[in-house]
Parts: sequence; structure tokens; C-alpha cells
Amino acid sequence: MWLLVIRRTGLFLASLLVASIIVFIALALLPGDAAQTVLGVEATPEALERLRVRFGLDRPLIVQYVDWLAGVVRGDFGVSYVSRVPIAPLIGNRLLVTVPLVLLAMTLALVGALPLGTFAAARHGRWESTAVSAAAQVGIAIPAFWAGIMLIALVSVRLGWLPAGGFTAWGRDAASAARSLLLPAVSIALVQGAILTRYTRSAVVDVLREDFIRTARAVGNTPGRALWRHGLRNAAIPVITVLGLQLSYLLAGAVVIENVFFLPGLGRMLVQAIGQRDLLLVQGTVVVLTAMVLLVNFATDLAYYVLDPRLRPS
Amino acid sequence: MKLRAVVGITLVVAMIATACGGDETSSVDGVGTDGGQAQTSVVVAAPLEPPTLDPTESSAAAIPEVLLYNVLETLVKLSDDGELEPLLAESYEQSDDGLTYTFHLREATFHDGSPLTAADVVFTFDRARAEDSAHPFKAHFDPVASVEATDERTVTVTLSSFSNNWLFNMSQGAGVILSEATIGQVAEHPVGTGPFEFATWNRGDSIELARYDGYWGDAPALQDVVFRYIEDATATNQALLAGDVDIISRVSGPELLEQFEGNAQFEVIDGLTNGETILAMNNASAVLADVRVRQAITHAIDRGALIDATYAGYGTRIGSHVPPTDPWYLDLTDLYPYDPDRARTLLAEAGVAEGTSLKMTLPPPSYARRGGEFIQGQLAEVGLQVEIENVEFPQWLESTFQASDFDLTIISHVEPRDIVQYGNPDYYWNYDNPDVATKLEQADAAPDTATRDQLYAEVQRTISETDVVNVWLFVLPNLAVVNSGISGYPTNKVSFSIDMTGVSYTM
Repeated sequence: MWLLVIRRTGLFLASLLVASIIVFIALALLPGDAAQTVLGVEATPEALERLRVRFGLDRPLIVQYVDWLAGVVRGDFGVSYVSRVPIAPLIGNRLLVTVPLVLLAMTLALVGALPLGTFAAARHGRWESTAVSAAAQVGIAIPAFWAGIMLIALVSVRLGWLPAGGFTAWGRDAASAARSLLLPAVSIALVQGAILTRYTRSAVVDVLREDFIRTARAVGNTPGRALWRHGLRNAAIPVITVLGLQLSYLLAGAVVIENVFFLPGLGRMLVQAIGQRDLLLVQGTVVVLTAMVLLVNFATDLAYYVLDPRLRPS
Repeated sequence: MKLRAVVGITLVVAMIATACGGDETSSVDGVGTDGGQAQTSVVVAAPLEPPTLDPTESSAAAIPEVLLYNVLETLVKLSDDGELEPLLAESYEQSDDGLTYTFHLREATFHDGSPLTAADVVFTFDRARAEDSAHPFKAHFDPVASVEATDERTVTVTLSSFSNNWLFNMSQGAGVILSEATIGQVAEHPVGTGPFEFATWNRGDSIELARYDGYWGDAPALQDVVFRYIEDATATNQALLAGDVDIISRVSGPELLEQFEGNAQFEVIDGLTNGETILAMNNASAVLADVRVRQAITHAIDRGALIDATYAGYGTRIGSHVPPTDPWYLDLTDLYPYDPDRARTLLAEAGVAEGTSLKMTLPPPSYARRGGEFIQGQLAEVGLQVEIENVEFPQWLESTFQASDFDLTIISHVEPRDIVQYGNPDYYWNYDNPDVATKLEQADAAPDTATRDQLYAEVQRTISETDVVNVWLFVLPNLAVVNSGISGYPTNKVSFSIDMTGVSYTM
């Protein structure tokens, strides 16, 4: 048991390390640097050099990296080159937008997909099932940002029910903050929900074909009870796998929706930081993202252990 | 049955959610038309958020957009028609030899209540021009020899050499007056003397300003000003249509203006800026070193059609590196008119073979990307093969701007009065004409406006007619959309400021 924990933690740290090294090298290879972003086009080479020295960008890459690593180990993510403020609170504030957004989106997606997918599987072969499959196909094909723009046009511009974007801090007006996340969450949920519907449908269909379901029916269970008591655990496994993948993707992948709804989210900040060559901010954000993805993977594995007795150590 | 239940529950939940969302209590979300109180708050949409609020640390134009004239003030202000008016300097005198300026400061207070004194001006200027200063516009202080506080509210600035442009530069972001007491917090909470004081910065979202009741001048009509940062053009338009913002300060896609043109609820503003949008040519490159080739390229481009095709017809033509808002503007738009036949003749004369390849690097702005494609087509007509390379800004800065690794590029030079760059042989165009450099220096030192204007006119003729350094396409228009009920939004953008001091509701 302890061996498992040590192995897992080791893997976790190793993954973070490798991810940070790759990003560091990638950013170092890109032309341009933060000094240029700050001083702009009219800067003299001397001014640029002076600023680079102040930032420490003239040091060898290894030294810059180790210095950053030493800080992170202490919990100090450093200071952004471009905006001169500590990085940890910057990332924290963005997480407060993106994480609730993603969680809300996936909840809506699940609430729609699970019943729909199960229903489609139960009506397998009939027109209802085909209709759900077709609708899911359309949902997958729709780009999330288009869905977002259409929703804004309908709900914000025409009906005026919800804001077209923007975000008030949770501390200032929690109700307004929640409202700002609704449309973006729905835009994401439409696509992710469609994907989940298909997976749910095929997983339940597979399970319904199994022998033990036939046995359960034979001993007197209704189709519903047979599915609920014996089938769903098995069907859940592929669905949870996809769920984990979607969550991992959305943490940074929500950037497109964040742009459409101009939300101060993590993905949007990351893209801006890369464009501005704000090295330390990119590093810090990537480390946090990697950590979160690894956490999602860990939670998925935990879910497998809970659901499938075959995976538990005997 | 199950499906109906799910649908039913979802609908109920949605209805409850929107019922709760019906009342707009936060003034930040948008301006309601109910109640007179809301009519003093304006939300402005801008595309780029400032990285920091310290104008002495970063050259980002987004900083003066928010702060200049609104929160922070200069000694003199640039008016909409290009004249310098007194601002923090109630009046000023210039010595006969023009080297000494004596500024008489107003009775004004900073937003923290402390009075404006001559010591603040001395502190600000000395800090900017210090040896080790990292001020992005340190060069603007080069002519200054000394700055002294001759008494509580009088400052004497002595220049080492006469400069016409010095006072102009002091009216821009470089010349904002800060106080020593609050200099440490400028990056996050700037304290100035302007009609608005800084209220909040919600990073990634918005910056809020509030009316300052202790302002020395006329109080602004607005109580609250919010700058909302939205990069996506479509999202910006939808925010305006939904009422979440009241003004779009910069319209990046002019074709999107169509939906506002006919709409009585909005007013489209089409003014001028200082941005000379040019097809820059590397005068040192193998092919372009010959002036006939540069003349040919100019003849080959139908600049009127380019504006229509790439900028929906918005944009005023220019023939040289001076926008119509500068006092010495010379109309040279008739030089080298569109004439592809003449272009082909010139290229043949210069010995340029058919199908010669030129490298064009294009930075992200739409005028560059679209303009580039248009020009590629036009140059193909006269036998020049243009290879387009789309690059991000840092890359453009490194390879094109610093390394001059290009033949052609399209960029808009938005700094005011930047014709002086033609005197710098190391500038990315690689244009080396000592005569022009001398004339530019003389113009800055010219003792009267007539001589100054004459010299600048000669420079314009040289760079445009004789040497054809670049192809001047158009002045980047100041395109904005304003809610019809709002007035006072400046038409021309002669400085980087989004000046909200004169904005008010008319209804």
C-alpha cells in the first residue's frame, strides 16, 4: 500500500518536472522575449539589455531554470516579467473562474448525457435511439465557440436574460458571477454532453448484451432494475474514462469559450502570456495545469478501484 | 417518459435561473436605462489590457489609453486639433533663446489629498532622465539639462539645445506628473491629479475609475468609467448590442461596422489617428536598393482600392509619413499614381527579371494580413513574386524590426511625430540620407514655426518623391462605436488617451 503511494507521488513529481523542462526549453527557443513586450517597438538595444539584466534573462538557461525550480519548491512562483506582480495569486484568481466553469459545464453535460444515453441504449434499434445518435453527432460537430456566439445572440442580445460575457469577482457579487458562467458552461456542455451521450449509449448497449443481465432478468428483475443494480457499474467505467479526459482537456481548452465570453480564465491568461513571452507566468501556469490533470487521472483511477472489485488488491 | 421528465426538469431549472437573473443590481454589468442614477456610468470596451499601470515602466499603449488625461495629467495637453493647451501648467513662458521654460503650476491636489507642488514635477522629470532609469521614453528627456523648483508652484526647465518637439512630448504619456509619496504603488494603484481617480483593477476583466471630487478643473459629467477588456471582435460587438458596454473604443474589423451604420441606437465614429500604415521596404535589400524598383512598386499598388478591399473604405490616404493632424502636413497623395504599365517599364529598366521573389513578413493586425494578400496580387501583375510569411509580434520585432530580415512588411506607426525615424540609418528600413537627418535636427531646433514647417515639408518631399523610402498606404482610422445617447467622445485620436473627461449623456 505504501509502496503504491510512494510510486504514485514519485510519478506525479517526475511528470511535473518533465513538463516544466519541456515548456522552459520551448519558450526559450521562441524568438522574442519579455523585455521587448515591456519596452515595445521604439526601445533602444541598450534599454532592452538593461531590462533583460534586471529580469535576469541574460543568465544561462540552466541557472534561470534551477532558480525558478528552487522558488517553486518553496511555494514561490516568482513575479511576472510583464506585469510585475506575484504569479501565484494571478493563477489562483484565474482558477476561481475556470474551475467552476468547467465543473458546471461537465455537470450540465452529465445531467443531459447520462439519461439520454441510457434511454438511447434501452431503445436500441428503434427510431428514438437513432434520433439521439443523430442529435449527438450534430452536437459533436458544432464548434463550441459558434454555439457560444449563437447563444449570446439569442439569450443576451435578443432576450437580455444573461450578460454577453465578462465576470464579476465572486467576492463582489456571487450571484452575478454565477450568472456569467451559465452561458459559457452551456456552450461547452452542448459539445461535451454530445460526446458523453455517445459513449454512455455504447457502454450501456454493451452491458445490456452481457450474460449476467440475461441472468438477472431470468431471476425476475425488471429491465430497469437489472440495469441499475448490475449493469451500471460496468457501463460507468468507459464513461468515467472519457469524463476524465474531457476534464483534463477543458482546464486549458476552455480558452476559446473564455475568449468568446471574455472571461478572465486560465486558458486565456496562458495564451496571452505566451504571446508576451512572460516566461515565468507560462511556467507556473503549466505546472499548475499539469498538476491538475494528474489529479484528475488519480481521481479517475480511484473511481475504477471503487467501481471494479477486480482491480482492488486482494 | 424518462426523457420528458428530464426535459421538464431542465426547463424548470432554466426558468428559475433566468428569473433570478432578471434584476441588474451591479452597475458594472451594464448601464440600465431605468433611473437617472445609471446615466452617469459608462462602460468602454477596449481590446488590449495594460500589463501594468505604471507608464514609466512599460511602453504599452494600453496604459495611456486608460490613464492619460483621465487619471494622470501632464503640464500641457494636446487638443483635438493638435494645439498645446495648458493643463497642470496654468501658464508658461519661454525664454528668448527658447532654452528655458518656466511653468506656473495650478492649485491642484493628488487623489490622496496632497497638493501638487513644483517638487513633484522635479521628482518626476529627474527620475525619468536619471542615468540608470528604465523609463521607456527616456530619450524624450535628452534635450533637458536641468529641472528646478524655483518656488512652491514654479518649475524652470532648461534645455541644452532648442527642441520644438520637447514640449509636445511632454504632453504625451512620457510627461505625466507623479508624486514621490505614491510612486511605489503606481503599477497597481496610480495616484494622479486628473478628474477621475483609480478605483479597481479586476485583472483579466476590467479597470474602474470614479469621479474625483477634489479636481481643480470642471468636474466631468460621468461618475463612473469602466474599461472592459475584450479581444474578440465579435464578442465586443455583441456586448454593445446586449447593452453590457456603451462604447467600443477600437473597432478592429471595419466590415463589422455595417451592422451599426444603419442602426439609430448607435453612432459610428470615423476619425484620424497618428498611425501611418505603410508598406515598409528594406532599402538595403538586393532588389529594393534601386529607387526605380521602389517607384515601380508604388506605381503597382492601387492604394484607393486597397483601402476599399481591406479596410471597408475607412482610412484616409497619405503620401508621406505625416498624418493630416500634424501642423506641417503636406498632401503628397498624388505622387506615383496607380500605373502598372509604368511599373513594368521601371522594373525592366532596373533590370529586375520577371518572377523575381520578394519576402514579405506580416504581423498579426488585420490591416497587415489582408493588405499583404492584396499587395501580393497587385505585385504579381507586374511580375514580382511575393512570398508571404505571417508572424507573431515578438517574431516580427526580432526578425524584421531588429534584424532587418525582410524585403517588404506592412505595419502602422502609431507614435506621434515619428518622422524623426527617417534620420536614423539603423532603423529597420535601412534608409541612410544624412541630408534628411540634418534637416530633421534643424526642424526640431527651428526658431519659428514657418521655418520648422518648411524643413519638414522638404523632408517629406525627399522621403516620398525623391527616395521613395516606403509606400504610404493610409492613416489608420479611429473607428469607434458609441451609444447614441452619449456625446463628447473624441473623434480624432491625437494621443494614446481614450479621453473620457468630456463625455456625457445627452438624453
